[in-house]
Amino acid sequence: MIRIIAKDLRINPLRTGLTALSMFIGIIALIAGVLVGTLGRDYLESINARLSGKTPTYSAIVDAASLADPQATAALQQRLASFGPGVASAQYHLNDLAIWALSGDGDDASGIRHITVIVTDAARTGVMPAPIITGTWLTEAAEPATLETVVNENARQYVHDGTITLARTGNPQQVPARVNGVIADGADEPVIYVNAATLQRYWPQAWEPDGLTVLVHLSDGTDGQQTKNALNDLLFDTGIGSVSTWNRTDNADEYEQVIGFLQFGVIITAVLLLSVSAIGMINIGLAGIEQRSRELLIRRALGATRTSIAIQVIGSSVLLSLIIALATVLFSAVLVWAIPWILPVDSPLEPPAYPYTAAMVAVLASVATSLIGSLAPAIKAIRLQPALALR
Amino acid sequence: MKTPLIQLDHLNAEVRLPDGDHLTTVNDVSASFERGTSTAIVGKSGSGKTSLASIIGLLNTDYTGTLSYDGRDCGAWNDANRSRFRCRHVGFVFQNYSLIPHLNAWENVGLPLQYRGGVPMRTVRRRACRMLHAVGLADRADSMPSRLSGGEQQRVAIARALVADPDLLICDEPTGALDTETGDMVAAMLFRQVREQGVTLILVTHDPQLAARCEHQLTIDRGHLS
Repeated sequence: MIRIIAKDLRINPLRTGLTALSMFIGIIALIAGVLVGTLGRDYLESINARLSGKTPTYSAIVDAASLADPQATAALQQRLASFGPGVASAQYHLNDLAIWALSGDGDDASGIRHITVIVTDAARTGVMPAPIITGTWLTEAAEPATLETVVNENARQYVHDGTITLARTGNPQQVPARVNGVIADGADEPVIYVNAATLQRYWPQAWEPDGLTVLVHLSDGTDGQQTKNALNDLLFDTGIGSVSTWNRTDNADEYEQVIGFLQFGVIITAVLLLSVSAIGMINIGLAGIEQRSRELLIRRALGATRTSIAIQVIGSSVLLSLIIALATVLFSAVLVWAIPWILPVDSPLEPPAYPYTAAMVAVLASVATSLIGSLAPAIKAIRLQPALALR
Repeated sequence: MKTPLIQLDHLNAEVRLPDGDHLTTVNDVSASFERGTSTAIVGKSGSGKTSLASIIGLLNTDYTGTLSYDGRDCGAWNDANRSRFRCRHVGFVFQNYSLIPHLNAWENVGLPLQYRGGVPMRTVRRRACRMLHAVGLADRADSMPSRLSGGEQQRVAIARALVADPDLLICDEPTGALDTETGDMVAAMLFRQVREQGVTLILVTHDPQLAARCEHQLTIDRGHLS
């Protein structure tokens, strides 16, 4: 029977090819719909995450009492590193911190340049992830060997021989700091990230924080209010102060709806495509049975049962759909596999996982389409009266 | 007393015409066909000979009366049983060859064996080729029907009808689409094969010369057999 079914597919290669093409488009559209939705969501999440924090991230502005005390801040860093409700990163406000660099107006004169300097810790990328283009991020070691920094792409110009020179407003002292790496943080302006622990240790004169912000990316199932209370307890225990304002920084809620709507739209389109494919198959199938009625009558006269005729008609359609589904899944798998090679090096996107569920749904939909599409032709075929074979 | 292979008792059949009237195609036909004999059913066009052949060949169930094979009444058989019976016991040769155009000669010949089920494809091919050899077409086994002449196509059709060793062979105007010379050659080959295999032959024709080659002749006129 398999031989008969396979032979059937070769009767009219053009018809088989067009049917296969319509199935291929339907399945690819379904997989692509899911993939585009997933990639779109991931992309927006990544862009949002590197600027405003992963979903969900809260920002706590701390009403600080004793940030100048190195022991208190060391205790704070230690407690934040093991903060239960999520990943927490401290960001100290040191407004007079700047860099020492050429003025840039062509006169070779060096001086203080006020660019954004963020004094933070290694946990920051756990809250606001961004791809490291070269080198590494700030280290988590308890006692890093040197004053360390990371720059973004716009601040690369201030890096010489792997170091950048830090300075303070109104202070002639220039302190070289090692540049660990370059980060694609999505900012349009130069930004220097300074390891707070190393600043305290290797340049204590500069450690005069004006304020503190703690960013917290909540673990799954953690409540924002409970996290705020936990942070308040932590700040109280370390004698730092208390949370004065507590706000959500990411805006995931706004785009989740849009992405969901877009994805729904694409999937509906794909389902419509599959439906069109099914209608096309019914049409082609009925026309095919019309053309082949004489052949089917001969087969009936020679001993084919109604069941074997139905299996022949439905089987060729299902076999074709399975072949196409397999080919489409392989094709889409290769495409997904190739995405990391297509993405730019500083893309915030993680390589997407293959949408197995979507692929499975697409394959099942394809088989269901072929079954539905071949049902009417099969019914027509088995209703042929074998007595007509002799006419 | 020996049981005939086929027994017809008071068979009646009619068809419904487009204007709603009914036309009697088989009218109170009773006959018997002994195993290994050849019988020609002769009649003019529209006399009911093909209708009778389709009932005998278990292709048509729209009749009253009794049709029995080897003493077994076929009236109660369902479609699947009739199909299986046709596959194992009845061979057909149609007027216009009726080969399946996208299957080559041996694949066409092997079809009844394939529908019988359980026959390995290798065996199907071997038996089909042996049958093609018997009808003188051993070298055309892989030819598509479109590459065969009318005579060759009808020989392939005869090979297909006989490949499953049927008890009954029903031929409907087997030479009707062939010129006289080719028709004579095909008819000679058909009768030789029937004789060699001991098959019961029912030959439907309006050609008296062809009918004369059969042991018995029955004439049908407006559904009546005489």
